Amino acid sequence: MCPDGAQLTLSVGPAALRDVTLSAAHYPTISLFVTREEYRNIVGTHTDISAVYAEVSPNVQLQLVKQLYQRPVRVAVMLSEETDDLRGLFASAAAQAGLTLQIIRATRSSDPGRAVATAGNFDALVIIPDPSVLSAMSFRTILEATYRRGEGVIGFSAGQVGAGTLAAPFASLSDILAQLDEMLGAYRTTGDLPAPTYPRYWSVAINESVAHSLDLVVTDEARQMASRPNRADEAPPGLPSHASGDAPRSP
Amino acid sequence: MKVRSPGLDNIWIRFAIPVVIASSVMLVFSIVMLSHTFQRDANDDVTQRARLLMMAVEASTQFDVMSGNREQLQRTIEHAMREEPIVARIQIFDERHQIMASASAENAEQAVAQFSTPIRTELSTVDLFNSDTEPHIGDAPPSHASAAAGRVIGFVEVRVRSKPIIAARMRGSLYGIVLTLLAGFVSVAVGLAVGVRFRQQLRTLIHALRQIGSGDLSVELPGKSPGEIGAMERTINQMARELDHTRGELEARVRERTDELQKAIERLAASDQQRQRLIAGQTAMLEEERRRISVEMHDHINSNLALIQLLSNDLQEQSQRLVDAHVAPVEGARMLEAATRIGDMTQKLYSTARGIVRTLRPESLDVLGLPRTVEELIHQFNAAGGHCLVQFTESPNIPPLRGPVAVTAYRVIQEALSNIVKHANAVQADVSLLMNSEVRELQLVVTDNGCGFDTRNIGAAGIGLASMRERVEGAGGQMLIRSGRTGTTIEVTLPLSDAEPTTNPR
Repeated sequence: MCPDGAQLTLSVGPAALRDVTLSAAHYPTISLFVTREEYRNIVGTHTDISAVYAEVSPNVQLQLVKQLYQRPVRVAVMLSEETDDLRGLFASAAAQAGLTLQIIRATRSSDPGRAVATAGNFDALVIIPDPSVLSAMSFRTILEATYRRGEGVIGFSAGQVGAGTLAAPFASLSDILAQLDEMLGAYRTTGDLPAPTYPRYWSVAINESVAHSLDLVVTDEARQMASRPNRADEAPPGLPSHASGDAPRSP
Repeated sequence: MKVRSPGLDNIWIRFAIPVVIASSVMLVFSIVMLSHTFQRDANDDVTQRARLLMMAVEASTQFDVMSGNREQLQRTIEHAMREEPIVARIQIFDERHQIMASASAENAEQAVAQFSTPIRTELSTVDLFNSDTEPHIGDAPPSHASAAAGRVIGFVEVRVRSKPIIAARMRGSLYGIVLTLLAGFVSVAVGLAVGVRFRQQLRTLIHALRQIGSGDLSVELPGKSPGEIGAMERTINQMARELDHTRGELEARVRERTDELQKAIERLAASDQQRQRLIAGQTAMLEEERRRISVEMHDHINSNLALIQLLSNDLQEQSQRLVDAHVAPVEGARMLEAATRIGDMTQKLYSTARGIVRTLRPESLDVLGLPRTVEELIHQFNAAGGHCLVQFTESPNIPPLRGPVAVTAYRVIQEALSNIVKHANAVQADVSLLMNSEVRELQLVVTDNGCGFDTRNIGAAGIGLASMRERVEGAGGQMLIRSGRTGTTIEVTLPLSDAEPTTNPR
């Protein structure tokens, strides 16, 4: 599938990516459906392994907050030691969205719910994939704590919206595959793997009940926020495509 | 003619009464059944809708209860109440059963049922991208496997009422009932119209049949009606024509038979008159012969016997003088004995001759007339010493008849008394002679209190009654016999002609 007949590996999921890194034969690889944090943990110093992360970029999450609240609000993000490197990314995204950012420090041993409850006032909480902090139990306590404080939680998957988060931008299976198709096209042309990146195409899910509970009026613009592949007869709604193009390269 | 109940002759009334009664019963039954069904269905419906509403409220207020957003809770339940008219009251409680929101409708006291359910936190198994093996897919559906184990964070209590549902259903059903009744009335009206038309056709048919029944066979129905009515009209027309034809034939045959019968009757009447005249002639001849014989016997035999009797008496006197004078005592005695015997025998012959003469023709009939002769006959009858006493009555206007009618009447009475003596075993009998001057009829009645006889066996009763009837019919009269267990009555009517003699023919 390469221009010169060379092999390219696609890995789906963390297990497959781990197998690639442990394999003796090494080919250029594109990792799919693995979070940024997990990708970093597995790939380490390996080269020639690119990725499309499973979760959307912080910039998209904060743009969604802006669209939902329709006003400059104070948004918090819970970062642990493992994800602390995203602080800068969130800061620039908040600045771009006109939001006030508040960092809530969480540790593996601390209670995230309590951390939220003791944090200062904010309007929305953005959570990101972080196994050291986010578990089923901590997710519930975070939700309950934010509910009682009247704060919305912005997740990173559609399933979380159904479970009680206010909203979440997410990249579906077809979104990831569409981006993969573009990456393969570029690889055929240039022979170079692109840098790991957040999903370029995504859409949002909003929990209307939670929005009502938070006295938020969800606009159609918020509901229709999405990034779709460019087609001749279809203009991509929502954010411009460059919104997801600021993904940091893997270290 | 068939008698009909007054007031029920109208076909509308006769049809409408059972239809109205049946419709009323059906309506009442339907309303009762519908009411019962409405109540039951409404309760079921209320229960289902209340549970559905409760589930919806529980699901939509979960986050509000958790966040303590009472205003949103209030808006939610008020919205639910506006959407669902059966709700009388909705209340949201927190986990300590403290009211968080409450909304009531007007007439909330009409609530018939109350439902309550806990509000639980929904604990879905959400993919938090924590797996280090499974792919992290952003639109993977959440798992609700552990949703039932959610913590109770509050309660929803819903009170509902069934009246709105019942009213709505009743309105719909009433429309249905009204439409059904309208359809029923239209059907009945159409049926009645058809019935009226059918009845008119039937009336025409019945009128035609009555005409035929009364003998008017000139019936001609249109015969163009469709179906069975038309067929019946044509059949009646055909029947009338055939009956007319048959009646013509029968009438002709009857006329023919009537003519024949009339001729036979005339012949029979002529024959009967001839026979009567013959009988009358024979009877007259017989009576005349009897009269002639009796006259001859009276004029010649009886007079000679009287002369012999005188000679015998003279001979006895002369013989007695010879004996008394002892001139020839022996011869005188013999002559006296012979003369005495001659006198006795002559006396007996005279008596016998007089009896024969009386039997042949009572001379008193010619001398005294019928009434006195009958009276003498009855006197002789009673004097004979029989056990039956005969009484005689007569109307005062009876002339002293001496002609053929008198003879016939006398013979009838004579024969009737003879039958009473021989057969009746009666102790009393009455003989009456009556005269109807207006029609000149002599009526005689002979009655007894005897054992009577069966008049159906007159023909076998002997020649006595037959000869009586022949005599009467020969005289142009009539004889009626009534008999039973209490006696017998013979009534005879004899017409009197102007020529009937009432004086002595001599």
